[in-house]
Amino acid sequence: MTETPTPSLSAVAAKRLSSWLGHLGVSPMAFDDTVGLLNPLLRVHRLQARVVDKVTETPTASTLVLQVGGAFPALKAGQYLMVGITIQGVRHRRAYSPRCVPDRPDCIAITVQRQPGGLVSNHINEALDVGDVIDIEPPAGNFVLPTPVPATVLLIAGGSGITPCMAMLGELRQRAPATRVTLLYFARSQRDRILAQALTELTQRWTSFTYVPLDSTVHTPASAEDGRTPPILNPQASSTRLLDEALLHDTVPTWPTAATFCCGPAPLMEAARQLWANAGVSNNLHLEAFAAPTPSGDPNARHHVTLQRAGESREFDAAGNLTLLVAGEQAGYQIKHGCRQGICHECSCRLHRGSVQDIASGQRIDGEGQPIRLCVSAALSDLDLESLN
Amino acid sequence: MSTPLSPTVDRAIHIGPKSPAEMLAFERELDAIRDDTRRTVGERDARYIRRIQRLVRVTEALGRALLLFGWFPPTWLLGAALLGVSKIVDNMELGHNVMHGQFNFMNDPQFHGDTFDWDNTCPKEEWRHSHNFLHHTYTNVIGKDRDFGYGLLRLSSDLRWSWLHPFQLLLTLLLASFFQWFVAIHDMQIDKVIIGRKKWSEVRPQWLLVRAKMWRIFKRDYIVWPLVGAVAGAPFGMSQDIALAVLAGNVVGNFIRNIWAWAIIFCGHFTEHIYTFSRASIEGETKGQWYLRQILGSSNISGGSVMHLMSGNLSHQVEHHLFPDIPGNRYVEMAPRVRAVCAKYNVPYNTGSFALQLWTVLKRIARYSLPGGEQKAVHIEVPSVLPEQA
Repeated sequence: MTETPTPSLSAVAAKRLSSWLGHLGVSPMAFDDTVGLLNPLLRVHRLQARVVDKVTETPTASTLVLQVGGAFPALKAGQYLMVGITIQGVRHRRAYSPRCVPDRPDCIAITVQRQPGGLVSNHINEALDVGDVIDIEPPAGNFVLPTPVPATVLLIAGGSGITPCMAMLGELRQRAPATRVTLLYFARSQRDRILAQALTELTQRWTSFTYVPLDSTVHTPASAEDGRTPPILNPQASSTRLLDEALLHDTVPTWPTAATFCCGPAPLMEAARQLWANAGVSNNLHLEAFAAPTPSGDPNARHHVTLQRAGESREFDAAGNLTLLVAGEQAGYQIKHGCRQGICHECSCRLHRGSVQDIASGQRIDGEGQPIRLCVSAALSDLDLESLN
Repeated sequence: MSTPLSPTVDRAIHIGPKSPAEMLAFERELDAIRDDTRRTVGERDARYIRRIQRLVRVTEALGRALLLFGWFPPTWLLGAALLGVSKIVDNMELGHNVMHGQFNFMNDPQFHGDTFDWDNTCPKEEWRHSHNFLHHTYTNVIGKDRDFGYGLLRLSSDLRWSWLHPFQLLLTLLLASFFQWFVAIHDMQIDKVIIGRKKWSEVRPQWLLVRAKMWRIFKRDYIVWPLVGAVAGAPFGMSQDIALAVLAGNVVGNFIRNIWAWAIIFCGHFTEHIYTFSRASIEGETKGQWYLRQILGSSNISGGSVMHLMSGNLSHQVEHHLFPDIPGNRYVEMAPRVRAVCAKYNVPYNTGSFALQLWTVLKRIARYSLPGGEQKAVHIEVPSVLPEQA
């Protein structure tokens, strides 16, 4: 179960067949569509998965068990997976941390926490059902356990940041059960603690694993629309365990030498970054950011823009009140464009991360790989762009 | 009208909105049509374009399969026709519309304007530049929009007559028959290279792109599929027969698409009452003036849903030019509103049956194969609010 599932022989053969058919003018997409009519899991280029089970973890989170096809590549614990969900004709892409499922080598599981006002996370929790088919992309990311596995591993999770840690726990138990593993798991309350049951069971069956659940709202990000416990640091409340040296000393005295993986909200990761930097052991800390950057909406703000084009990377700062095309040109770059008025799409770039305002339509676009036109878009946050032309 | 000191040689016309305020109102009304439609773009359009893509795949598969039966007339004719239809729908309703970015909202790479590729010898990059940018931004502006006459034909008095032009009806026949090949090299602007205004070294990178795409299409239609036909015919000792039948079917399929695409595109911009514009007329152009120029430079074809589908909704050329990135399947419901706005502001809305429009196109080509002719680039004048010019 360590690295399941791997591409099967039939998937390799299907890929070869598809490349031969390419000479007959059958595009890889057409090949995929056709075999997809028989069974979506037979696709080899644009992969899909079938929901085979849906478990409610907490009132605000569900776990989906996804059956994947033979072409799905090996999954390393801790990596993320882009999932494509079509809502109202529009395909939305989101990253989730998949984990292997015991006894089902053809399946992976993802746990999805509802985000307040979140389009995709709420759709998955409410509307997605067993039997539905969704798009998936091959797993990616460097938030993985090193080889060989170190003797002491510390996992720090906050909220839905538990999901990659859960995948790592699964792998550690399978591959290196003698490893001393500690999990510090921050959540707002017992009720919000996803995967709590599974973790409790794991402690009973795995002696070298220490599980430290912590109820805390200290590290949650400030959010007005949240409607939950006010995310204010309140030293009087009972739920104020925060990530500090005392906590680490109590739970994992050898923490500076342990291989540490931290995933959670930005404040939690910032706290970890500080602690490890102060101890001079930043190399032992691995961080995984989950949340998308929040748009500033400030016309005077300067946003850092990274534009990839044909393997070349250009970086410049864009003021919120300039179009990206003008901002790039002012920084001295020649940027491919056409009409400069949003007609021709010659300046289209794919927005991988960050938010922009489309000045032509007035809409805000949050980066999930959509094409945007530089000549009619202004930055609302730092951006990662990839030129398409 | 003209004072001796006037630096412009073009003819100023007064048409449509009568004052800057009216022009602004005209612009707002067209914007409103666009915004109302854009708000409702979603599920329905995504379903539509997926269905179109399925139609393309199914007709192509059926067409190619039927051609493998050889020269037997019912299957051969149907096979070649289906292949032609598949290429037409792929190029027009699917390719042209998707490559305009009309379905970018779906965020699906299969329907992204920038990643989609079509069954045509013209590379997608070349098309996006010559069509989406030059043609749509500078519609019918002489010297800017290279689609007006394709650097080959004389279609108004703006081009000086030469001894080549009497043959332009024959040239048109050639252009129509090999339309995809002409479109493929269109953006390289070979005519400029010939007269020495552009260096071959500038054009070479484009040519490499075009050559690669041409080879891919040529290899598929004229080498690989006939070979498949030869293999299929081998057990019956009919290799050569079937290979030739497949080859001929592909030639005919491409020919059907070429002629049809040519006819639709020429009907969109070269009909009788189309205006052309001088370069000066686009300087400082407002959005409203741009809208007006798009309407005056385009003509529709009246017809039913089959005509709209087979023309890739370029039967709504006017609506397409006003709103190039609204999904094409919506033009039919926008058309009555656009027409009402045109009527309100006295803007001519050019439409007619396919046969009639094509007839006026041929008339125009014939007329301008001889010297002279009265249609010349115009400059749309909006009466200024300044008192001295009132």
